Amino acid sequence: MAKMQVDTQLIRDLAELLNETDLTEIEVEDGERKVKLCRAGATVHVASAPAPAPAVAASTAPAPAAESTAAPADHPGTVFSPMVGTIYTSPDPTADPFISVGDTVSAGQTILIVEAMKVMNQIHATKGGVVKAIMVENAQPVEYGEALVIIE
Amino acid sequence: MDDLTKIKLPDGFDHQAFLSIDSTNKEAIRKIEAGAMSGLWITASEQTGGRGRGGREWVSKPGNLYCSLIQETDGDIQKSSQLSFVAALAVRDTIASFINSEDVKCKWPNDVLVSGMKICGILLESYRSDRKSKNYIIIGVGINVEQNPDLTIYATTHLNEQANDNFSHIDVFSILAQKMSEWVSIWQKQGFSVIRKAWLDHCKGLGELITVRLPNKQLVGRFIDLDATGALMLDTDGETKLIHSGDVFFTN
Repeated sequence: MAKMQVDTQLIRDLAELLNETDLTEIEVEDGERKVKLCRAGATVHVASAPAPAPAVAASTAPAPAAESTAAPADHPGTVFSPMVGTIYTSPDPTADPFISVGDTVSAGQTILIVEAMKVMNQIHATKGGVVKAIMVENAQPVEYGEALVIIE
Repeated sequence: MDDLTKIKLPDGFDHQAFLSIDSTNKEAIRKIEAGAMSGLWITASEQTGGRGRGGREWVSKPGNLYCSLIQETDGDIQKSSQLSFVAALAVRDTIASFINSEDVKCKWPNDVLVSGMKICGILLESYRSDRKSKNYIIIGVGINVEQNPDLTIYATTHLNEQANDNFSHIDVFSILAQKMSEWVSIWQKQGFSVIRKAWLDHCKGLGELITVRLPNKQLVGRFIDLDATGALMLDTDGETKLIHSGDVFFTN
């Protein structure tokens, strides 16, 4: 099965917009690309035309340990994984983790690393606030669109 | 003592050499914040805190090459992954230019093996400078020139052993700077499809049974292709799994 070509940045941007505006659905079209994001309970469905196959491409995992009242996908402060890879919670094994629950972070701050193809990709806080939950552990595999951290 | 600074680099590239430093990747990030531009190479004669994938120590004694290149990107994560293969091709060409052997192969995603033995390590890191509102990839390369550490998980070798000669890390860096410039340029002008094909032409184990070690499990299957993003396509009993992160071992 070939991997879909997914503009992860676009989807992130749209997901942020969806959360900010509290809308339930956003659909954008640009030439032959069409992306639709809609909110349904705790699941964000990402559909893309003109893919002929059934179009549900990504859904977020349910929160395993979040203490927040909102499900991660619904929470406006959730940071999602922009890619498939392996999580690193600290810059190297001897260092302190980037963040712990209760920490105050600023927008743009590095909060995790997702490694794929031996590229260590920094994951940044999408906004400033307090870390409410960290849903991933060091060296854990993550899927595209998986909820990683909630910042409130 | 160190003539690395006297090397003539391709146009658009610059170079700062250090005798001893914690890590050339870390120095590259510090240099970005201090105003460095895309195309700056950092080299060090030794590293005191060299790291590989998963934070593994990269033994960095004098005699081998330790270097990092700052490459500005548009922040697209897929393109960053592509640079992993660009770097692998540049390092493979560099090593092949010193060694009279057909058996200089790429191992997914970006290792280079000589007769099946690991001779280098490549680790890339993304970095965003909020101050400059720019995205970068740091391409970190270590090449065993005069010696190699004995590792338990991989057979290792070094360049002079394979070349039966006495090259220095300076000789190797001057070729690497050239090859990296060429491959980055090919990638920028012709895109990843050309890089993917070149990598497949030089890779080890295509069509063979391999083992992929993941954080929590191990997969055995046939390495059938790279997908358009660079993920390894592994056929396990008729089911194709896409590998984005993991360590590859050859079964034969």
